[in-house]
Amino acid sequence: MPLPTPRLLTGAALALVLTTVAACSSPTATPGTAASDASVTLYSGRNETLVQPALDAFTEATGIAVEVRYGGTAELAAQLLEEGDRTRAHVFLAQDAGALGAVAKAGQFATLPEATLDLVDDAWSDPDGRWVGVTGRSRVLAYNGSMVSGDALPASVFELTGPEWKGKVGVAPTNASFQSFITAMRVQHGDEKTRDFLEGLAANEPQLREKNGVIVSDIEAGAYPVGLVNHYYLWEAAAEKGVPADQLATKLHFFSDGDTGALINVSGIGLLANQPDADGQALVDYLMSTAGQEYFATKTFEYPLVSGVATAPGLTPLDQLDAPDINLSDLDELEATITMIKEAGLL
Amino acid sequence: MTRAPLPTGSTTGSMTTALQVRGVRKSFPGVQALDSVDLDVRAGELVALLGPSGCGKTTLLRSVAGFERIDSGRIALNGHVVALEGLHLPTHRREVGIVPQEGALFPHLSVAENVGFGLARRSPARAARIEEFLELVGLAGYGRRMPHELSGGQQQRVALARALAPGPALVLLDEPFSALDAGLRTELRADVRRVLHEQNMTALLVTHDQSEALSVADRIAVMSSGRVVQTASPLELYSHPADPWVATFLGEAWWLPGRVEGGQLRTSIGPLPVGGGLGPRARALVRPEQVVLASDGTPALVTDVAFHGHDALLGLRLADGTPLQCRLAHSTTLPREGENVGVRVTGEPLLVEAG
Amino acid sequence: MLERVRAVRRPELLVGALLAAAVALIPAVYLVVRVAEAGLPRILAEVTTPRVAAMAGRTLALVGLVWLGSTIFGVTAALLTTRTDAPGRRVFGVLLALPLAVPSYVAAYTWAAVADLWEPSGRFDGFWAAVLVLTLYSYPYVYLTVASALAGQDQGPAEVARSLGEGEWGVLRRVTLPGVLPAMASGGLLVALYTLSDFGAVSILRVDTFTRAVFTAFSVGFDRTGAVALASVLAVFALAIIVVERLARGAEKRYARVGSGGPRRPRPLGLGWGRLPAAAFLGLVAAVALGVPLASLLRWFLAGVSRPGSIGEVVAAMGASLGVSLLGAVLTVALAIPLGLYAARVRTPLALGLERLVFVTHSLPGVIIGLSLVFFGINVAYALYQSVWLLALAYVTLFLPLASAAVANAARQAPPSLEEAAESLGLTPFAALLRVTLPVMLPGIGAGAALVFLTAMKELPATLLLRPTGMDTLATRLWTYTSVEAYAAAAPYAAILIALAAVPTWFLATGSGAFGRDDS
Repeated sequence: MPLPTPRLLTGAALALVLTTVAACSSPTATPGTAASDASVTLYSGRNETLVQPALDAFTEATGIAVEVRYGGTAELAAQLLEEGDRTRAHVFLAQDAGALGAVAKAGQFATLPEATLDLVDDAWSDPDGRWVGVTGRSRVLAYNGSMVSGDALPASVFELTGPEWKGKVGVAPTNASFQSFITAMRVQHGDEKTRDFLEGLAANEPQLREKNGVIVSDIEAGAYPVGLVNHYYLWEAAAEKGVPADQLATKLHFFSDGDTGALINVSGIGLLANQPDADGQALVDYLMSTAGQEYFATKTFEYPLVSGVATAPGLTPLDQLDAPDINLSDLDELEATITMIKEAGLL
Repeated sequence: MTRAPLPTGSTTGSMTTALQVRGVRKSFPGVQALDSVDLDVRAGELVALLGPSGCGKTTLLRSVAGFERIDSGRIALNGHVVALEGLHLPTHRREVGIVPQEGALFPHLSVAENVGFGLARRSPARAARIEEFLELVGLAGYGRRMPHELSGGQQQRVALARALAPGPALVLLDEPFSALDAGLRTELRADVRRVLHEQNMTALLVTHDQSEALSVADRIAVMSSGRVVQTASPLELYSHPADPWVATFLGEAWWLPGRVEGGQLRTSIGPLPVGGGLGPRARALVRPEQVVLASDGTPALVTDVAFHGHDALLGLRLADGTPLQCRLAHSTTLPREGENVGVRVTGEPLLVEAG
Repeated sequence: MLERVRAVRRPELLVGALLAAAVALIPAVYLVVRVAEAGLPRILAEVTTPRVAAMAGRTLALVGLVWLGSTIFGVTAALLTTRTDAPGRRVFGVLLALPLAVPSYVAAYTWAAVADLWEPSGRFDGFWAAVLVLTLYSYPYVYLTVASALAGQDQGPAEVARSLGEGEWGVLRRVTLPGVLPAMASGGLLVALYTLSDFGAVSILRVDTFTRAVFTAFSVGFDRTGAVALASVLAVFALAIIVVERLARGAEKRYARVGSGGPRRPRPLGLGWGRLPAAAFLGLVAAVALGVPLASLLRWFLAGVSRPGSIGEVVAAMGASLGVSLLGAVLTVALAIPLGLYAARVRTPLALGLERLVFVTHSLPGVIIGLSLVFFGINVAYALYQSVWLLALAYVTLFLPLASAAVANAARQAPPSLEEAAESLGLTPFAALLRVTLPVMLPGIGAGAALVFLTAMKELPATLLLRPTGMDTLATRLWTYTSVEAYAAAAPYAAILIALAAVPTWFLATGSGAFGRDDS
């Protein structure tokens, strides 16, 4: 009889679905988990491949499990804002200061203890103590050593609007780091000069790309000679090719004399206000500890912000950089920056 | 089965009213489909609802089935009210079977499963009953086939068996033969009639084909514009239509004018008996069978000849221009177009009108 | 025993239909709430700028061109594979449906990567690149619906036309093609709405459309207001497209006849010397659409050093993808059935409007859908928040239109006379639905489920936002690796994703019966 068979099939399908679902869905952390579980929920805007090993080391060292929600920094910030005080996150690790500023402004972060904030220079954390920088990321001009010689490189980022750089500069305007850089320019030099820079850049046939990594691989391939990126992308490109960084044709040029092009932005961390226990703080402490900072220095080639930790070999140390004197928490005024970038036609 | 069987009404002889329709009205946006319809169907009777498209016959059938809600009036099955204004017994609780126009067999079930669909799932007599009804419709042994493997006529037979198997109080047939070709139609008609009579089933058949109604039904209800115009046996309807429209709907009919003299209407082709109160001039409606060829009859021009095998219909025109038809049965010779023949009228008129 | 006549017809279907619509409209509610919060003047100020106008023009142009390309190619391919004697058409018939299995972001990435094969600094991006990629990977929506319609088309009118002296091409132009206009329209609608909502391809290929602007608004200013304003415009565009489609389609035939026997196979159109070129054309498109992504993935895998973390990681991602996609497909179809049936049985303007309304949210970018469900989860259904159930609900919101189209089609195959016959035999209307209508609709429902399943497998932005913390699907793993340029590690995930999505696509193509198993 054909009639039972569809019923049988439906039943079987339903059973299959439910078992698969049960097997796949992980237990979700609820707010106010008892400390006996010893776990912390982290929302990480930093990529899993870069951050998970550090988290695993943390768990091994402290016995506290970390449940990580990976995503884009911007989406996670939007999600945190949407979640409000019913969020399940305990800690937010963000790729840039702007996202941290937005969440801080909504009052969702707890104030960090003095001990944590004292670990880094005042320039690398929130003035109100709501978030702290974990690693530094310097803006640089990546260049192809065989296409451009060292002395032809510009001393200031503003020179890139000149005719000799027409069609030769790679930029990623949709990237948060570029936008922080422009906001820093506004803070440092005012809106008018920034607008001039943007319009000059846009008129100079810039090579627009979505991602910094693409710019570096383009430069390596010789598509164009220079690009404005963050410093660690060089090592990322080298890793994917499987060669040491110094074997690449691409080199890094750091701007100096407090030029905006030398901006150092930070990835940072904040504790969400609804902390059930001290496990979140423990994670922050770990990432700010020597072990955590050394991880970032050696594996992701970023600048450890805690003093006393050595930077990766081949990388200009932090204290030798001449970054502009800017308060990073001022960089969350992105709205006007975006409008400016859009109006210049780069976005 | 999810319904409790309705207790049957009193069964004193064959005068039980299986279906009673009183003053039923039903309108759709812009059209009054049923305009106060009255109808009675006796137990064991086969009544045909006959009428042109748009007359409301299908709406009436669907209202009896429960697929449509009536606006006002009353429908009762076996003495039990099933529909009133604002109240309604859903289809699945009425004991009606339906044979739709296109059969509507369940394509995912076999023939046997289709036939047994309305029978209790776990009844011991189920298989036997399915086989009994398949045999009844001439499809013994077809149980395992699937609907798409059957021809149109076979599908209709299965649809009939399916409707009859649960033993409903009333069977509704919605133009069940219209989708079939002519030869099949006549054969199936006869079979259906036989089956219904054998089972002593009460049936309501909707059709627009008057020869179908005349040959199959015990009584015919002629409908027009949402009303029942006349209900009578086929013979009665054919020979005593209530009005000219019914007359021409059921067959060919022609007006013959004449002078009224002494209880007769003197027409150019012969006299016809008529009643009184008509005034000096009148006209009578006659059937082609009443017009006969006579060598001494009034001359008429043959305008066309339609040969049907078993008879022929001659189109005629009288000297005064009156059009007419003559039905010529079992004749070995046929007049030709343009010839003149002599004709006379016989019998009684269907209808008479003054003037 | 007698019941009151209910004012509402088929209430059980209405409840289901309203539930389906409620779920599908969660994003719309979210938009309305946020727009109300920001205030209409602010929203209007965001939206009435020259830049937005330029974006609108660009977005609509993209939608129009992709729709045009998909329709032209989809119909041509459908005709060639179902109605001509082109050699190899059965094989091509199925292959040409497979681009549907490739996510747009993978397609865009891999096409962009191939550009440097003929020029070291070659760039494949911009408006026309997006038109090409989006057309090539969404034409199957039109192709499959039209092929299926062509295969099932009643040959009566065509035969009459031939008897009236029309040659084969005339019959094609004047009878066959007009007959599949509804299928063209519904496939075209899906293409248009999909193109409106696509983010993956346009962001990689750098085309400034509304969805990209929505994303940028989020990623730069955490500015939900700007994003919401732009998304609202998308919803308005979608409404306009839906209205146009309905007008273009006009009144459609209600029900297929439940006749005896199957449809007579139409006579194949002889192409003469054009047979080989036609086959070559079809083969070329299939090879390019499928070959470019696969070749690129292989190149990446071989050229780079990164690899997936472990076999376990890959298997877990596969299991998660399959599990949530299956759950999403089951839920979506379960809700689409009452919605489609209600529209098919009770043809009031309310019912038909409801069925069409759910298409509006199909145009919204995944990130908005995701956030609207975060909003819903946080404020209404906290217990479901960050569980697979909320994610499945997001899939319902996203893909109800896909299932709805399939269900509506299936409902047309199950005329009400079947239900009426069942009721006359003693079944309640609901029982008749379960035992007669649904089994008859099963093939169409299955097609809808397959389509939702494969599309859910490819979904990324909403999945990222709503997945249970710690769960990864193939798509999210792909995203993790491509975010850090670890393309070699990403390649296996992309390949597995395409392979798995190809299975239901294959079923869709063969199950439609369009590419029959008969004569050459």
